[in-house]
Amino acid sequence: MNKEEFWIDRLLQRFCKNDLYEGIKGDLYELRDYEIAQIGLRRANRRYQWRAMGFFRYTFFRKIDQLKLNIAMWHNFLTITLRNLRKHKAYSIINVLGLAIGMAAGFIILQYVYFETSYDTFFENKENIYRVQTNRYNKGQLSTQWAAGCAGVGLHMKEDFPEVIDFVNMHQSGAMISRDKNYFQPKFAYYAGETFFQIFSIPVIQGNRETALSEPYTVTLSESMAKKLFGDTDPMGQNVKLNDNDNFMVTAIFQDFPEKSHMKFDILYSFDTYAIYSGEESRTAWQWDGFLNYVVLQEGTDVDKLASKFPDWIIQREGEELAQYNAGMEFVLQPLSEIHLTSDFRSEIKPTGDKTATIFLLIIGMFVLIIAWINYINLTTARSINRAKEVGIRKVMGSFKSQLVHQFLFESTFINGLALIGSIVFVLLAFPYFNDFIGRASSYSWPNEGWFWIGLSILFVAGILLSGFYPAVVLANFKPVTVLKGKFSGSAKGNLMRKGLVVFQFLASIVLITGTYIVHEQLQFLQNQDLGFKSEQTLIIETPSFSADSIRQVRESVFKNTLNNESFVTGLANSTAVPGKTPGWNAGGLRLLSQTSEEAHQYRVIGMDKNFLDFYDLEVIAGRKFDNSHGNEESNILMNEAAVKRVGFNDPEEVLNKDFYFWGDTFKIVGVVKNYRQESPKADYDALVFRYFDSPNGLYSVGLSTTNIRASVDEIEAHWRSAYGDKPLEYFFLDDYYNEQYKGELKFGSIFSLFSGLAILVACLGLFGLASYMTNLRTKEVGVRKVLGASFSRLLLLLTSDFLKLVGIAIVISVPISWWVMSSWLENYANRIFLSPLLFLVPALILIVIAMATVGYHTYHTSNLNPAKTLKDE
Amino acid sequence: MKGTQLGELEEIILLTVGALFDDAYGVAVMNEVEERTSRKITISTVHAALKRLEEKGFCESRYDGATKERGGRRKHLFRVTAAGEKALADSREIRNGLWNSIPDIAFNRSE
Repeated sequence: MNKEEFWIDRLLQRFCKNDLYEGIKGDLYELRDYEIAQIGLRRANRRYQWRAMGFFRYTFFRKIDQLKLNIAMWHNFLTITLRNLRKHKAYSIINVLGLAIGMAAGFIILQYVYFETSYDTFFENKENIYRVQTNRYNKGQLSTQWAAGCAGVGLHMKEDFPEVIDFVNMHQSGAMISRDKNYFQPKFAYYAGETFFQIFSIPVIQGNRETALSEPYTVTLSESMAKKLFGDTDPMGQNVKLNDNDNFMVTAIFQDFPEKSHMKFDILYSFDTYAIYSGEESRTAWQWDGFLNYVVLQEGTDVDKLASKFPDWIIQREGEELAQYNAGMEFVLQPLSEIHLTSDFRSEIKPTGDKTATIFLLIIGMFVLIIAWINYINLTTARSINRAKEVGIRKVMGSFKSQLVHQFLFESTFINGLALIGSIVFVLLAFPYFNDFIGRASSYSWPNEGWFWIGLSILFVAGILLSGFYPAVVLANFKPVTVLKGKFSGSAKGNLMRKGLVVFQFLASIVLITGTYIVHEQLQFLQNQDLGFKSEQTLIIETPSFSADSIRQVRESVFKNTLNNESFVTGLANSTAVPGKTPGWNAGGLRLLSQTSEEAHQYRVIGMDKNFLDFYDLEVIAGRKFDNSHGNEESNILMNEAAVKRVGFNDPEEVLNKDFYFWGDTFKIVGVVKNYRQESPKADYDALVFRYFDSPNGLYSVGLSTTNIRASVDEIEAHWRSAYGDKPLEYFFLDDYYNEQYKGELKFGSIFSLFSGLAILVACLGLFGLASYMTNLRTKEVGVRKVLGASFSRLLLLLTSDFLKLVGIAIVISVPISWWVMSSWLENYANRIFLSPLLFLVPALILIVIAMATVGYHTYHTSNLNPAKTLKDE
Repeated sequence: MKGTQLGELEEIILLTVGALFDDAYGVAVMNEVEERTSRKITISTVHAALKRLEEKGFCESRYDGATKERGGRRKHLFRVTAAGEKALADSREIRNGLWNSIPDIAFNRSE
C-alpha cells in the first residue's frame, strides 16, 4: 500500500540532480511512512506532496553540465540547417517565401473572418435577445421580408408568451434635427421604446438608463452626435428641435455603437413621441411594417419550441384580417449575434455581412495555408535523397532515430520560424491596404481577445508540426546499409504520397481559378445588364423635410425654376423614389375594380411628376405618359410590365383604361411602362405602380451637362439656400447610389481574386521547386537519351508527362466540385449566368499552361545541357 | 572570504551532523534540530543546507544503509570534514573571544 507513485515524484526526478534524488526521495518516503501511522494515509500523502514541492529550488536543479550534451547536439542541428539553407538557396527561398505568403494570407483572412463572426458579442445577455423578423406572404407567395417588420409584434408576444419577458420597438425617423439653426439630417435616428437601454448594454455616459426614454419629447444622443450638436457645452437637459418644430429634451448620452454591431444609432427619440405623432396604433398594429422589434427571452427558453407556436398564434390574432386579402405572415426569431451574417432584409439598420462570402474566404485562406505546407512537405521529401547519406552516416555513428526526428523537426521549425517572421513583415505592410481594400473603418484595430491569438498560435504550431513531422519520419527511417551503398532512390510509397499532395494542390488551384473566373463573369454580367434607364451625370437631392404647406410649395417652385434656368441643368424630375433601391412605398390589397378582394396583390409604388419618365428615358409601351394635356392626372396611374402580369394580363394593351382599386380610391390605368431595373439587376423585375403628384415628397433628380460637377453642385447649393434657408442640402450621385448595391459583390470579387491569386502563386512556387528537382534527378538520363538521338519535343513530353497526368487527374476531380460550389453561389442571384462548359474549360487550359510553362522551363534547361558535361563524371 | 563563511542555520546543521556521527541524514538532522532548537524546519531546507555545506567542503557524503522504511532506498549520510571542523572551531573561537571581551559590568547592570 505504500508503493504509490505520485506524479510529483517523476517531476522531481527530472528536476533534481541524479545523485541527490535517491536521498531526497528516501527522506520523503520515511517521513510519510512515519506520518501515516500518526495522521492517516490521506493527510500523510498530502503532506508528502507539499513537502516534495519544497525541493523545486535552484540548489537541487540539474544544471547545465547535465544538459551540455544536448546543447552540443542542438548546436550541430543549427549548423547543419544553416549550411543546407545556404547550399540550396533557390529551394530555401521558395520554401520560406511560399510559407511566408501562405501564413500572411492565412492570418489576414482569419482575422477578417473572426471580425465578421464576432458582431454583437459585446452585449450582455446576448444569448437571450432576439430580433423578430417579419415575412409577408401574398397568395401564398413570399412577397416581402422585413428586418423591421410589423409594429405590434413585440408587445403582443410579451402579452401572450410567458417565455418573452421584455421587448423594445423602434421606428426610423427621417426628421431633421437642429439646435440654434444648426441643422442635421441624421442617418441613424430612431424612435425607441423606453426599455431600450435596459435590453441593450450599451454604456450610458450621462443620464439615467432606466428612465431616459420613458417620457414623450425626450431624446438621447450618441457621444459623437452630442459633440456635433453641442460642441463642448453640456447637452444634458438642453433642447433640440425636430423639423424646426417640436422641442426635445436631451435625457442621456450613450457611447457610440462599435463597428462590430449590426446596430448603429446616433439619435434615439422616445417612442411615446412617435405614438403621439402617428397614433397609439403604432404600438399595436399588425398590418403596419417598418418597426424593429427586439424581444428578451427567459433564460433557457427552447427557441424552436417557442417559434413553433407562432403560426397558430398569428391565425388566432390576425387570421380573419389576413384571410380577407389572402395574405400571410410569418415571424422569425433572429439571435442577436447572428443578425450581421445571416440577415439581409428590408430596412436593416446598416448594411449587413455576407455569410457565404465569409465562408468562401475562410476556405480560400485555409487553402493558401495548406498549399504552402504541402509545398514544404513535397520539397523536403523530394530532396530527401540529398540528405540520405547524411542520415546514413549519423546512424552509423550511433544516432538514435528519435534524435534524427528531432533534427528534422528542428529544421522545419527553423524554416517555419523564418517564414513566420517574413509573414509578420508582409502582414504589417499589407494590413492597412487590406483594410482600405475591404472598406473597413479606419478605427479598426487588431483583435484584442486572447483566445483569437491562442487559437492562431495553436493553428500555426499544429501546421508546423504536421508539415515537419512527415518529412522528419521519412528521413529518419532511411536504412544506413542501402543508403550508403548508393542504391537509394526514394520509395514508391513516398512517391505516391507526393503525387497525392501535388494532385491536391492542382485541385485547389483549379477550383480557385474556376471560382474566380465564374465570380468575375457573373459580376461582369450584372454590370453589363441593360438597366433600362439613363443614369449618367444625375444628381439626386433629398427634398427638405417640411410639413407640406403653401409656403413650402412656393419655395419649391422657386427652387425648381432657378434650377431649370441654369444652363448646366439638362433636366429636373421629382419623385418619391429613384432607381437603385426597392421603393419604400409598399402597398397591399391593390386590384382591378372588377376583381374580387381575393385577387388583390401587393405592389411597390412610386409617386412621380410629369418629368420623371422622360428624365430617365423610360419607355411607355402602351397608352401614354403623365402629361400636361390631361386634366386630373392625380386620378390616373401607370404600371410596369411586371405589374400587368401580376394583375393577371399578358398583353399591356388589355389593362389600359381599366379601373384600379387603390386603398379605397379608384384610379384609371392610362399607360404601361417597359420593365427597367428599378431595384437591382440581381433580382427579378418587381411589380411597380406609378402615381402622379405635382411635387412628391422624396427626391429631386437633376441632370447635369457640365464636366465641372463640383462647381455645379456649389451653384445648386446656393440656389437651395436662397429657397430653403438653412436646411442642409443632402445629395448624392445616382450611379454611385445604384452601384452601392454591387459594392459587396465587387469587394468580394476582388478579395476572392486576390487570395486565389496568392494561392495559385504559392502553388506555382512549389511546383517550380519540385519540377526543378525532378528534372535535375534525370539529368543523366536526358544526357544518354540525347546521345542516342532523342529530339527536344520527345524529351519535353517525357519529362512533363508525369506532371500532366497529375494535372489531368486534378482537372477531372475539380469539375464536379467547382460546379457544385459555384452553382450554389449563383443561387443568390435571380439574374445569373449559365454555367457553360467553357467556364470550366478555360481554367483547365490556364492550369495546363501554367504547369507546362513551369515544368517546360526546367526541361528546356536540362535538355540544352551538353551531354558530354553531364555524363563525364562517374 | 565569501563562500567559506558559516551562516547561522548552516552552523547549527553542521553541528548536528557532528553530533549524529555516522547517522546524519536528512530526516535525522531535521528531527535533531527541531528537538534541540524547538523550531520548525522543513526537510527541503535541511537538504539545501547540507548541499551547500558539502559544496563549501565542510562535510562529505556517501550512500549507505538501505532500509524497508525508506522503500529500499539508501540513506544519504553526511560527515563533518576537517575543514568543517576548523570552520566550527573558528566560529566558536570568535564567539568565545567576544564573550570574554564583554566587561562583567555590562551584564550585571541590574544588580
